[in-house]
Amino acid sequence: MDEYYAQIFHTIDVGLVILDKDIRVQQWNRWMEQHSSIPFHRIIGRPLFDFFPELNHPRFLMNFKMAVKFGNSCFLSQKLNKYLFPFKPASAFAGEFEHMQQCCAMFPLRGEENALKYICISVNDVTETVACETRLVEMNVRDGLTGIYNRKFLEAKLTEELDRARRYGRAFSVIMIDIDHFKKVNDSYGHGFGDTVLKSTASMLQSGLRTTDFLTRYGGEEFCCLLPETECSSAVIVAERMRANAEALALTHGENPVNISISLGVAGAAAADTPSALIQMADEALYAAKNSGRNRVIASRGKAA
Amino acid sequence: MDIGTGQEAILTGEEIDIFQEVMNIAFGQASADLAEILNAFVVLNVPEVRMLDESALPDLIREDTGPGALSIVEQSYWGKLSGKTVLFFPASAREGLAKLFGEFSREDALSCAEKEIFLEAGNFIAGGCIARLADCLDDLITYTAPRSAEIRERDADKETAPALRRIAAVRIPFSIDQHDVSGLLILTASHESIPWLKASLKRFMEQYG
Repeated sequence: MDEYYAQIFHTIDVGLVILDKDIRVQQWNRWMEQHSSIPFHRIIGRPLFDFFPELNHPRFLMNFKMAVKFGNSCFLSQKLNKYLFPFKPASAFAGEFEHMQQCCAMFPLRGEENALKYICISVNDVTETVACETRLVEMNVRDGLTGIYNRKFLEAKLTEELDRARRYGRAFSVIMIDIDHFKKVNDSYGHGFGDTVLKSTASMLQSGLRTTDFLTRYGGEEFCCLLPETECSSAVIVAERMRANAEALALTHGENPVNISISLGVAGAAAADTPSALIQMADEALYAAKNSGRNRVIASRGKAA
Repeated sequence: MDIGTGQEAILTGEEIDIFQEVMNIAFGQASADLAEILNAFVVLNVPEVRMLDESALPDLIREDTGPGALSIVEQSYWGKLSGKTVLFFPASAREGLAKLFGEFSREDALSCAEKEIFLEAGNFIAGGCIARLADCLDDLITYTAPRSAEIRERDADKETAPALRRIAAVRIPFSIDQHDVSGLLILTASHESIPWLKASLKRFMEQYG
């Protein structure tokens, strides 16, 4: 059977590498040759890290030790590791990926009397699947017009972040934002220009946020921003900067400049028991801002009414 | 293999005591070896063995799953001893595990990758325990990849499991020192492997005269 196994080893559409316990390469199949451009004869007998120094990393070593010490299989998922071997994507549908996305496994090979002799690494190219999945996930959580997160995403993330803030006693704040007199913009300049205002406002709001913050479209001309690890007083400063930036947005309809403003309500998680209570507090602060003349920031004073 | 439902498929009180002793040795070794690999101490509490009908497993699992979100990682293993491992992590364990298993960003720990963090952690903990148990019993085990399961799947098991298939179920609460992680491992030895387990426990005792 050995001759058949050798054919399978080299023909299968999966990368296969066999290492000894010193992490020297003992086998290297054609798939690996093809994607690494490292021929079999150059790598055999050599330390893997000579060719892939980036693999000399605690995560790789932890899994390798697990396979050697326990004789266990280890599974290196794409979602956590992205890839093990830094190969170029082979697929035309690789999306934005710089490297081939890989789902890998490490498992022991035993010799006589079941003694562990080698570790085999299998490498599956999952780039196309991940590219499609990424697109699907994005379509599900993004607002089609503005490109920011949608209401569905907000509801899930708000619960998650509030849970975490309460569990670890960390700060968390929410800003509700509404474009002032948006109906008048639509009525005066048409819905096409209304869409432009929504997109420009979303883009302006997003540009001032950290990567850990989440800007979402709450509905219509209303936005909601989640600021983890942020005290209410700091969120007010962020909100004030957003207000000033909205005022400075240089929008034009044809030759005519169009000025917009936004009203903002801020609430901190410390006074909220539930996600809906937190939103309600921010919403009440927003309506207080609207009722006191618009184009301003008001912070919630505590419990939702 | 039909092995019937008689005494050959049931661990006696004495055999359960021996099995517990074997697991104490095996899990002590697993804990020490995991500490070397993970640089953290996995505390595996005293295992509790119960003989029960396979169809009662969902109820045992439900006993241990109180309110609150849980991640469940399930793997099957095969050797002369075969069965399943079911590992429960509370949602609060994810950040501790994310740090322990490899310097993932906070975004990774909180995004859809959190399922994978539980899967990898589950594979290490359950795999370590089973590997050392197999060593003690002179067995060689292979595993399926870990998969995440849901409580409601267990109800389906309950409906489809044939009656009177006795299995050994072992509850092992565990925690990981200084990482704010705790959970529960349930290990089952299948109905088919009980006769081998009984013989193996007998051999184990004979070593000590």
